[in-house]
Amino acid sequence: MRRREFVALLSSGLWLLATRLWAEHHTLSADPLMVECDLASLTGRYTPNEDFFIRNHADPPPAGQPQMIQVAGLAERTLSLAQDDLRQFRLRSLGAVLECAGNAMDSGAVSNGRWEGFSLAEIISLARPQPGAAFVNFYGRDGYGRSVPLERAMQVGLLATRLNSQPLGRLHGYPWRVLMPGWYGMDSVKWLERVEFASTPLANPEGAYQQIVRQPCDDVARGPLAHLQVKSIITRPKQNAVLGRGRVEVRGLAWSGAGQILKVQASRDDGRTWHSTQLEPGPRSEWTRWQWVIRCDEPGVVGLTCRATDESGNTQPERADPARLDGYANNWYHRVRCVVV
Amino acid sequence: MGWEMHMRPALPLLLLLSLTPPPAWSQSAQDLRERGIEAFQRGDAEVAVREFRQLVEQQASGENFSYLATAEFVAGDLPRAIEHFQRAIRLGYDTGSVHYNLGLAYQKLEQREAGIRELKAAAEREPGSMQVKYALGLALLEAGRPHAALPYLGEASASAPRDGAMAANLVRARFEAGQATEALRAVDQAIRTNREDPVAAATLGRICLEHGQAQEARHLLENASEALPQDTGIKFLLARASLAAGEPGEVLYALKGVDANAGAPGERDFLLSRALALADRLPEAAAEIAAAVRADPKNVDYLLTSAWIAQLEDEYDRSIATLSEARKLDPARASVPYRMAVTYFLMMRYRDAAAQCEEALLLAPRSDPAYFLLGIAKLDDHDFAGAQAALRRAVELNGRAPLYRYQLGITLSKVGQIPEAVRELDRAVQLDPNLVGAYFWRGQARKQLGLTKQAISDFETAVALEPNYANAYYELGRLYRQTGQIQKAQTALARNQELKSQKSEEDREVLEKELVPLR
Repeated sequence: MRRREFVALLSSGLWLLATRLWAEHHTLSADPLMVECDLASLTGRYTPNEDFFIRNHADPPPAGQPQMIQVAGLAERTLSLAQDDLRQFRLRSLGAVLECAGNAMDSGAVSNGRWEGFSLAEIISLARPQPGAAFVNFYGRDGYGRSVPLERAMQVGLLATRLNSQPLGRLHGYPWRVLMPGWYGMDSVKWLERVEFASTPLANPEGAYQQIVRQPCDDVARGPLAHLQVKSIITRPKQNAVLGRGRVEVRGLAWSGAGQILKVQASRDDGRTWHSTQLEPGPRSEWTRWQWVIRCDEPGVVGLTCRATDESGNTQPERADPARLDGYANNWYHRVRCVVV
Repeated sequence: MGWEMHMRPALPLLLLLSLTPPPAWSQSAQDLRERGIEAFQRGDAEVAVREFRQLVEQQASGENFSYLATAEFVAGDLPRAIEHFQRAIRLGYDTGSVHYNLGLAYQKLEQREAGIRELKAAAEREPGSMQVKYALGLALLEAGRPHAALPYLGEASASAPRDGAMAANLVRARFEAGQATEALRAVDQAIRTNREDPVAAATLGRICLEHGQAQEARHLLENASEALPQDTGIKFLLARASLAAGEPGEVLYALKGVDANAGAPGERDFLLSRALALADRLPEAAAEIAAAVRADPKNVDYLLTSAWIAQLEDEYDRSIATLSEARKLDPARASVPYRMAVTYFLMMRYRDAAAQCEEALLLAPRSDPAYFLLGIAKLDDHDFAGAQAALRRAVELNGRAPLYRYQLGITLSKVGQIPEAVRELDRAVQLDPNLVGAYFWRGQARKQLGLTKQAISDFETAVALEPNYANAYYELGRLYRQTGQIQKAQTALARNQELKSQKSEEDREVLEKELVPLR
């Protein structure tokens, strides 16, 4: 046995040889907590709550404190809403995909859920923002804050209280969080405690959640991140999977913040030729599951690639934009290398 | 934390007393009986025993002996309680309750078979009592007879689906009966029924962890910990489940904010050290395990982990010294010589490694990892017969480990048993299609059998899986040339040369690094 092979084997302890080392979710960081979902293990349309990805910015606030939302700032009325006060609003339900802005192409910081809650538009209307109010600042009890244009919050915002028919979990913002369907996860502030109307947005910490583009003369331009970019990924087979010869089912997911997924194309020759895949579309703001069946009868490496197009005509770019320096909104072609034996 | 896993005897005993109608005894006997019951009901079992003892001296009836025995049971005098329950039966008081209580007394004394016999007698007399069926199921489970326990536990649990303890014991019985799928189904059922009960989730999580279902345990314990964030017991269990599931990040999160003094001495630091080591954060892991050892210097688990981390840091001498200390504390622990064998193997002291494996096998004769390590140590020591015997035994004990078959295949190739080697390597790649070396060695074996086309296919697969596999390119080059594929042969041989020159550089670096301690 090669020595390095043996050392690698022993690093996890030989006594644990029979232990399964796969999981439906993986904790990437303990502080702050970041957990990614193993998308290959997904069996239904929705990500189970216990596997739903987590991207926190600080420790979850302690449980058991009184839960209120203060609505203030440039508004004609100041509101203080407790759980019971929310009953005056109509309970709404929608399916929506939520993706972390920094989700890499091979990572699982994305999930799809069935959300229930109350329209932010109704809550905002009750407070009657003043004409100068252009932004809504959301503050969570964990100290995290985020600004969203008022118009967007009115159009799509939800105060979510339940996920997949269960109350929101403690790590997902219990008792409530903002949900901005079609936008990256950083706007969906958890453990919401204060909503403030303002004429200007909150300052961003240096580089956080901003698009940073290299300009000529080594200058950079900064701007807000756009909506969820059209993206498709291959979930099965997994990266570097070894496949037996014969029929192979290629499965994946696709989503976009600019509308329904119109098509997903896949390639088995690193993008030289493309084929249509079979879509299983879901509601507009959810992800679309797709499938492509191929035959692999010859041993060797197979380079699988996929790309999606949404109803607004956006297609995934072939590769990362070298001018982008921020590392967010990664949506280039997804490539998976497999070996047929 | 967790449900009580065993029967509580007081409830049926109290029922027994309160449901019995007062007989027409003499005034003094009736007084004694009433005083005894009163004392029993207020929890003063000692006084109850005194009163009932006087009662049986006046009226030695079976029923009175059952009162005395019951009070003695609760007072903790189990041998006398057993004697007097038996006396009650001999005197004709042959009721389900007496057999039930007698069965529980035997159970408490861990006289399993006698307990089962009495509980079966109780079940015959009280066929509708789920309490009796549950107790009998538990007794059978405790006696290591999970198959026999299942019907009783299943029936009891179906009659009380919200009873978490019954559900947990049913799950445990299914696991112990080897019915893991049914056990996991029973877990789902129990969780659906007790959705809002985090203690239920924690107990089931613990049972899943004890039975090797780390992922299921992790899910259950995460939910329990989220609902009961202050419960450090659940956090420790979650950390252990996450370790077993290979999720070091989750261990660090679970133990975040947990006081160093919580749990057993050094427990938090021990779990943290293992997680940090798995996450390849070795200096931090070493600091944590040092703290754990300081908190409990005689804990062999901590010493084993300390030795493991030293070994990961290439501190082999320190690893051996720590293991020698662990051996003094627990000479019967097979994992100590095994870990020593691993360390010696890494030091390339193959004979010492083999000797330690043999010692581990004396303590744990069915340990397949120890046979495997013995096999590869002997293989590297060029003792092919010894390697073959040890690896065959490892395969016998665990036929599903691809590495065992892989190494056995290599050994068989080396001693010229080529067809058998091909069979073992076939099985190895079936079990783990990523096992790149197995394709290489199968290619070699097939080449010797004249199966050139299949050998080429194996070497091609090997380089597809491991594009830097120099020896596979060399073999490919030769076989391509042999089959007239000159262009392909040249490319493969050129790649071999390129990789070999890189590899020798790399080997020299490794060698220099390893020679440092010798200077």
